[in-house]
Amino acid sequence: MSRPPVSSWSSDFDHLDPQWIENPYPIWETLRAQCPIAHTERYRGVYFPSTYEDVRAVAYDTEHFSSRRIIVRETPPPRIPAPPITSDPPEHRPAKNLLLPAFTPDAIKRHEPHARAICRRLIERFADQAGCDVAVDYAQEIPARIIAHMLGLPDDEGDRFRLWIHEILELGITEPAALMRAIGASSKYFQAEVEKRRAQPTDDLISYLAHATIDGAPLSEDHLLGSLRLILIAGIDTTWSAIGACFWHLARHAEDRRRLAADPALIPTAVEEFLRAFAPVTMAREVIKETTINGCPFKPGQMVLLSFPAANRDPAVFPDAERVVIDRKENRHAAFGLGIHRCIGSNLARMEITVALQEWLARIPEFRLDPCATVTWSEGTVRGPRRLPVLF
Amino acid sequence: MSSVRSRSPAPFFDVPPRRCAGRSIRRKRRAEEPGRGALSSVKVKVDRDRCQGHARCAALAPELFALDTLGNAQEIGDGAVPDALIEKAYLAKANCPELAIEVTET
Repeated sequence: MSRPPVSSWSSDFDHLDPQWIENPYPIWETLRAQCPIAHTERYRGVYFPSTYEDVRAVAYDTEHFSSRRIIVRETPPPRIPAPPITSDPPEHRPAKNLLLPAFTPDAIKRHEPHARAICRRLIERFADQAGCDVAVDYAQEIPARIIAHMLGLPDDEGDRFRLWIHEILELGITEPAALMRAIGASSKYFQAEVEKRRAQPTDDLISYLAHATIDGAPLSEDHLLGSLRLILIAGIDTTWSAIGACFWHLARHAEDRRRLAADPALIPTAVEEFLRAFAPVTMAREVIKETTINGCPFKPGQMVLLSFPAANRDPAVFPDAERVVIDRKENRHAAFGLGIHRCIGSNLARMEITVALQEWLARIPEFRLDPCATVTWSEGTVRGPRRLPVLF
Repeated sequence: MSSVRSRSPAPFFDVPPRRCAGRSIRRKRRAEEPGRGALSSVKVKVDRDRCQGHARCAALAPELFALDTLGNAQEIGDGAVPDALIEKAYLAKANCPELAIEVTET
């Protein structure tokens, strides 16, 4: 679909513009210097804070900025709750506390052997060939299989899950019908899974939530199905993008690649730097009360793109912000958000990315971008490579 | 404070607390512990209202910080930092996205 060209990044930006999708960092760098909070009349009005400080201010301010809409779309759809990410205080805390125990570092550590086995099996499929598409053959498969396992779903339904994700997060920005189709299909799917576990409880996340109570009352059907859809979507698309971005960097930087292959103990530190430099997730907020941040008035009813990726490139907080420094020691990055909506899956994502790199580098330490192929990027809320052909 | 629970069978993630549960994270500590060295005059403290459970401190300095059953952090014991761990204390502070860690020298 062709979109009207952007006349000015500060007053007419479009986060679906091909230039923004391909490489947004220079755009944000210019904005930070010239107009730290950009605005567009598109999408019924959206603000774009580009500095760490302003992103942080919005993320912390739940009085003026609501999470009831977290994706900027052409047409606001009916409210589709996905607690706790779409919840504001005071409903947010109990909805989040219900899920947190499943995602602590200790709880996640239990899934590490499974993650390792998945990575090894995937690598065996292509290790003897001349190359592969890391995004398609590797990155997208890992989180889909692990989150399916945690939810208690078959691990070979990745295509179905990824279609919903594409319809909800990408197509759904401009096509409400695609969004509603995916919401309907996923609700129906989860409803059936919930029914099975109500009849016969199991030890997975779906059963846990199906039998969960907050202050003695079971979750409403909307809450339950919304939370399950959230876990599935947020558990796949984001980490797939983050893993892909690591490989995008390593395929083009032999020095970093060889250093990590030779010194796997450095991988967790490097993962933090990849998360900073290529943070995949941009959230959104709806302005619900007029306020001013950094001299810029925010009008109720309009949206704010909450760009953690832009915050992470702010040189005021990160020296040499545009450079990937794989042994960066001080790294207070915001890839998993700031404030009460800190990503529940952060420990899971870190484990998956680390294991994905360790297993790959142990088996395929040498690889490079396929010079004949084109790298493509996702658009909208989550940024990551969707096609990433490499040669071994 | 709302109470949350589930009647489902003990789920796979029901991890017995390894080091701590809830707010009470204690450790018997002598002035000098084997392998920990002498205590310095440096102390760490987590602001529990600011902490959002990024868990960076517990990853970078597990000797000084522990996580509760929700994954939120607290300093171990009274937060006193052995000499050998002072650098780690500052590293944890420098990597906390919520600015929830205080390092004090007395």
